[in-house]
Amino acid sequence: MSETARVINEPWPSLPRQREAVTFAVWLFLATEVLFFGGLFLGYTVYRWLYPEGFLIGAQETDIVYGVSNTAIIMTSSLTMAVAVRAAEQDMRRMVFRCLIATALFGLAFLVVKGFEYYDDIIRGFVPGPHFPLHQTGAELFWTFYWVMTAVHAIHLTIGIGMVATLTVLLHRRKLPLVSPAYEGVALYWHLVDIIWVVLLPLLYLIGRAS
Amino acid sequence: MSRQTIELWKGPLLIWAALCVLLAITTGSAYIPLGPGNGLINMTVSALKGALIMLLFMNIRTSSVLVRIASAAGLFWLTFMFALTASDYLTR
Repeated sequence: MSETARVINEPWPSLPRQREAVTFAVWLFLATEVLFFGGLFLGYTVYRWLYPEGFLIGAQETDIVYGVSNTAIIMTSSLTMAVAVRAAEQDMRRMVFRCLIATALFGLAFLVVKGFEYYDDIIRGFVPGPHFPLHQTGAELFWTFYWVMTAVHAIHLTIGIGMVATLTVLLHRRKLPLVSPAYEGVALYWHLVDIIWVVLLPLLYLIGRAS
Repeated sequence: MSRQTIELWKGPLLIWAALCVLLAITTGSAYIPLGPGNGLINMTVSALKGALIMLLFMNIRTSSVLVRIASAAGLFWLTFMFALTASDYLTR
């Protein structure tokens, strides 16, 4: 059986049609993700508009070193993911394999940095509740958004790492030929998780630094 | 390193370098007091980074019309969500 015949599924008459369907469907899913995170962004915007002082005071307490390092890490993971897809198109199996592993490792590195950051945040007491250290109205609300947005993002990234790891194993066992549209589908999701973080960076880490 | 490998990495590395420069700009400018300018720079840089990733890493630049429309759908409805909410909170 040829590689194309192995990856083609019902009801697609040809691989290009199936590829188009996968890309289209993943983008539709990503549109729902944009609206899902959009709800959080909208809530953040409204409350920042209502309590500008509290949000600035709250944001000054996030650790920019963690935020910027993780941005660099996740952008680099997007680079290796993009190269993996390009290498798959050119039938460079070893390169795809290496780039997928690198992508999953960068994703894990992001989560490790995030873990250290969460540990610091908890030690310093920035957990919304009765013992929250800041008393300016809105500061605690900012931290609620910080926890929810970063946690939901981390869950997305964890799912992404799982999918990249699955692709890597399937590729290694020669069960997923390089012509499969699955590589591009997973890559699209991965890049969206990167874009979400790129938007989170200024909202959670960059505001309130100049004042 | 083979010629094919260099060709493979050249384009994505350039995009990655541009993303890093943008990250440096937005982080550096955050420490300069510019008033509303800080927010403007942050949002512009985020939009530029998002556009680079979407057009070049996610291949929207070379995608079919159907895929392009699907990729714009989320942002399209997001503008409605923000516009309708703003029409309430910004006009009170």
